[in-house]
Amino acid sequence: MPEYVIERRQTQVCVTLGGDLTAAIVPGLQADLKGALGQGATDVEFDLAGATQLDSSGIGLLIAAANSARRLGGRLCVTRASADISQLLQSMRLASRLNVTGRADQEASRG
Amino acid sequence: MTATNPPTSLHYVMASRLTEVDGACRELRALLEAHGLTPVGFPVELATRECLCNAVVHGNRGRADARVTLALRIGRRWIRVEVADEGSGFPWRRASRMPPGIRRQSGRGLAICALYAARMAFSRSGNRITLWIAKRKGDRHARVCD
Repeated sequence: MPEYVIERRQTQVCVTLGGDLTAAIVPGLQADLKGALGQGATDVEFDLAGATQLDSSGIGLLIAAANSARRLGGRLCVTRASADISQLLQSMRLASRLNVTGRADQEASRG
Repeated sequence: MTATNPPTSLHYVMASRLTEVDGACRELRALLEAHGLTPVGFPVELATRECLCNAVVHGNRGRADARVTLALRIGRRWIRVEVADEGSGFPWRRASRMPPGIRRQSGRGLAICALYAARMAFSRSGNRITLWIAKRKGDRHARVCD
């Protein structure tokens, strides 16, 4: 799987990570995301199922995307985050700002 | 036939580029795995990543000819991570170790290191940082002594 895939689903842009969301991929992903957001798309979903690491550059990208989505009247959510990543975002006081759901939450809601 | 113990330390010198950080982290992960320390792999790798990225971006300020050095040692209770760059340092005594506001896109590197390290120390100028991270998750607040 590539580093990331960006798909448009009606008003939502979905970013699926194939690996870690860290400093090395942030500049390219940020540029690609800028092009995808807007033009009717207001919401962003980051699917972190493929990520085991999220560093401060990756967190910065999530916040920038959340800020942009809010300006457009939409929201950002982070889905399928590992327990370690969910806990990190909680400790950084960003879990509710970034609407984080972990892998365990989603498995539980599926029953 | 005798089994050889895995090394307890890692010394890694890298070019001052963000794309080099993954290589250093691969070596780090392999060493932790060899010692059965995968449960603390996330905090050790993440804190080390933050130090390496800070060294590249803020320490060496993008100088292509500069180097960043990582030295990691696995002790009895602690994993000691030391990262040094070739820059002139920074005023670390005034640097915040708290997470910034939720709208701020940057400034979380030291807060992340402080979150996972039981102890954090700097060289006088600030171009070398040393972290002590517990080998067991519950030991984070224990006194660092080895």
